[in-house]
Amino acid sequence: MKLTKLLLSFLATIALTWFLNTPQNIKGAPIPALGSLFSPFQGFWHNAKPLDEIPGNQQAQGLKSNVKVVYDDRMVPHVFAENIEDAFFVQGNLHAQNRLWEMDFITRAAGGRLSEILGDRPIRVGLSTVDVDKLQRRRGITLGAEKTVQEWQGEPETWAMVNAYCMGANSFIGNLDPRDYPIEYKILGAKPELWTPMRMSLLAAYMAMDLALAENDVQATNAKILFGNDFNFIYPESFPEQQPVVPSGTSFKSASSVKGATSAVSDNKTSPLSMIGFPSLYDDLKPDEGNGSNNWVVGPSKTKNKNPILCGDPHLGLKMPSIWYEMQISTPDMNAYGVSIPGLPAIIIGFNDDIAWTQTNVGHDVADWYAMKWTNPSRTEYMYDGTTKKVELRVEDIIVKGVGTIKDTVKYSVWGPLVYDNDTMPAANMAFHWLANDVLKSSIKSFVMLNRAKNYDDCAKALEGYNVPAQNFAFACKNGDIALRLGGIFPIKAKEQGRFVQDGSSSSNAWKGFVPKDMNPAYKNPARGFVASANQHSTDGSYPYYYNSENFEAYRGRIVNNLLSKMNDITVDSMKKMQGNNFSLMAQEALPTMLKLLDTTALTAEMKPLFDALKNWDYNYDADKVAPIYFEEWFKVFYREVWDEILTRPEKDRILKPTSWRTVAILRGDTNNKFFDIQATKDKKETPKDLLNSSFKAMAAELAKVQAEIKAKYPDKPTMIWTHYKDTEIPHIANIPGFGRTHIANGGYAKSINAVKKNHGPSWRMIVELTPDRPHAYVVYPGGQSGNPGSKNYDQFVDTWTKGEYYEAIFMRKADEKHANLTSVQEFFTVQ
Amino acid sequence: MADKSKNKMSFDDIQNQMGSLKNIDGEFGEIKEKVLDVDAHTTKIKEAGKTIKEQIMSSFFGVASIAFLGILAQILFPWWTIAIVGFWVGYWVADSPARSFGYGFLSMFLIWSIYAAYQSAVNGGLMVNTISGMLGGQLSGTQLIFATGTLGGFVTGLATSSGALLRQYFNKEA
Repeated sequence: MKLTKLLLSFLATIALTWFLNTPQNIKGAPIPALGSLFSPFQGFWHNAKPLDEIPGNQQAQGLKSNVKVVYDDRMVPHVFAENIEDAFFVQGNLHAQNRLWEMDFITRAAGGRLSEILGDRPIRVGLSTVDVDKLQRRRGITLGAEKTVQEWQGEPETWAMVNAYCMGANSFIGNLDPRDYPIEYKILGAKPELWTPMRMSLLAAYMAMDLALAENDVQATNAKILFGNDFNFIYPESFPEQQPVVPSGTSFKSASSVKGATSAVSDNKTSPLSMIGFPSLYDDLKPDEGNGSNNWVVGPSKTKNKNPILCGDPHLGLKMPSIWYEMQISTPDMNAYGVSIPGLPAIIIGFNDDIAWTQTNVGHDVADWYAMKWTNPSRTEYMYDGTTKKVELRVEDIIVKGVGTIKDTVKYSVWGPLVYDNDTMPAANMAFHWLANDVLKSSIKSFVMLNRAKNYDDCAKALEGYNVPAQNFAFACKNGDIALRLGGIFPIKAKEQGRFVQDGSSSSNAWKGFVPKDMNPAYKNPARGFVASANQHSTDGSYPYYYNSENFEAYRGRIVNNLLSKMNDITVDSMKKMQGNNFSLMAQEALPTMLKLLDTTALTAEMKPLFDALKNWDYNYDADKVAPIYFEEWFKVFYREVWDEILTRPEKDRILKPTSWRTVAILRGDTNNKFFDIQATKDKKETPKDLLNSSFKAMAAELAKVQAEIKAKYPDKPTMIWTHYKDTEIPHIANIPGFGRTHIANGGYAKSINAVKKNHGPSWRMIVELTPDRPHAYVVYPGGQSGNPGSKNYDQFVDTWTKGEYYEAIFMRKADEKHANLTSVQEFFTVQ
Repeated sequence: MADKSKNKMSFDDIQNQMGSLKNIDGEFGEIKEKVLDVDAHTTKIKEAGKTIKEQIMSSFFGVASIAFLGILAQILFPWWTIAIVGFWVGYWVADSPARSFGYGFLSMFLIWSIYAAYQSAVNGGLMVNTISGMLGGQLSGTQLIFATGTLGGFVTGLATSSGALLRQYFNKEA
């Protein structure tokens, strides 16, 4: 009896301890190891650091001289080092100290290694972490990243900086006690890895994926098949109102004047294969089409203090922690302040004593698809210029937590990897040619040169080595120069080449080389007194090279230009106001026509207030307004009715959606257009008037549902206002509930300067006035310096950002400089 | 004859009295036996366990050793070493299994909840709010602290009572 009791009790103890020390999966829901997670000695309580904790001094193996880091009251580090390697060593350490989970997680996602930490877990219906990992490998990301590492190795200066950065990051990661792992590791039962050049390269690939992977080749091909000759009418490549990044009238060098440059020729053949109905993992894994940004610089002639003022707000997915880490890096020959990307060295957007710079995305389509013609049943040989060619095979090992290793063989053709390799659908055998897989991605050297630049020539020189993602770099210089230059490498394409899926059996469909970098569009000190860009077309038609994108922005660029041309005596305050501008040019262009065509006599008592609200609206997407809700809902239904040719088909048919700009232009220009006819009503030919009236009614009916949704989200105060409808949130990077910020109360939307959407928007706002004595900068980002959700610095800046307020950056020149807001010092000592 | 009979106790009387004395004697005997019984019982108890005072002392000793060894073990080793500490202390203190569970549970409950509460307090409750949010906002900070203590307490309590049971098992064999 006593033995039985003993054994039972003994087994119960062991079973309970094992259970609490092992992650569980209960009905598909992963449960962390509760004992480890709750233990106050090693679990989440241990990450609850004292509010007033300051980083301690460190002995650092590999440092050449001592480095001093001065923190201000926002925990922005100001690094003072004797040389650039030491500076990057400490930058690596600080990034790891504050954002280890973020840099680790993004890199694993980029390299197709999510399943290693998450296991085989569904992301949505029909798509799992393993699928996403496979797709990453099949996009050739890992092979491309290896190439970038080799290129770094070839540049001794870059390689030294890369290694110093890794050593610094590892001086933190390597000495990290499991108790001090960031909380996400504890929840997911994962372990951090040492930082390596390969991981830096994968991080650069992630940025390229986010910004240089916008393409719609399959969708455009399908649309062309569906609409035939109407295709160019619905999807024009340019439009008369456009105001390109480089203003019309700027003269470009002619291609013939540059050696090796070829002009575009229209000899491109669109692949005859229909992709309609092609099943794909791919669409919702594409970068957000709202990825874009604003930048502008006003010259001394337009400002009150006669100093140039530079403004930038790059729009990215809003995530906690932020993609940005603010800091200053100072060495004897460099002193740069701005934001860095945890995992990579240098300042990416910022300023120094002499210049300031900020980027927006260029967004040209540099990812093309080629349909393969297999010549053998096992699909390892394909037709190319009349002969057969063999694919090269690369085996990818995908480690899946709790399952083991899955092997995936990726085929490589002359074009690139076969992302889709499907014997049941001949059209679905497509090779992927992406610029970022061909060339050096993170041009570390370019950013270091920018960090050191003293004038515009230095800046232009820095961009010579810059490849992807292509960016519109805006510059302001203390001497008064202002300029904008496209940084990046661009393939030379025939007209419409790469707009559609191409025939992979002919080398004539290949890119025709690269545009020489000194032919990249650029302009300096224009008569209008400002430079600006907002993801619109780069140039007008006089630029000698063809480029394409279905996503060029149609409104923001024009809003910026219109505002700036009217402004004079510009101050930092007026620029702050402009960055927070919620005006919609689209609403201004569309709504009057829409209201004019509305039959006001048919309005019911419920519909009349909606009409009045829209009529009295000033086209601003302000947080507390109701009109933007009506407009969005109305336009949504109207759009659906106009493009019933596309939208009544299943989503998987993947037909390119016409832009709202084009829809409005058709509405304003041609009320008899055949696309206003609803196809389902055979005996009736609808006019825009019919559609606008029916869609207005439908919108009014839809509002009860909108109200119910708002009530569910804001039970205490369910008012019908724009911010409640939009309901901006900043989710955690791995979507851990409770780790993000929800219900953010602000205005703005995709097409206004203040482009805050549901979870996308200005990821950094910066205004720099280059006064003769020192740069004055005002900055904010929606996040905080620490990646620890238990730190007050985790989301410290979110409320300031929401309110459209800024912090004044403390730009230091010496480590022992006095300033009221400097709070602590962390020193890194060499090990003798 | 009548006088004689007055002065002297009759034989019967004596016999009667003797009888009652015998009875008393008998009662004494019973009491004596009972007293002996109680004595034996006390000895038995003494042999098997401890006085109440001693019991309190041993539980206190248990709590103190788990506190000392448990904290040390968790600083140096993973959290689950509390089970080993509990088991060993349970064996060493050799209290009854139920009381062993009690002091084992109590000691780790206190250590985990107090340490968790302390770390949370210097953190201004930021982390505990985040975790509460992760769990869907069902548990307050105080409830999380209580849950934490219960978790550690339960593992340790089970381990201590297992140790005590092992001790009992060996004692019986001896």
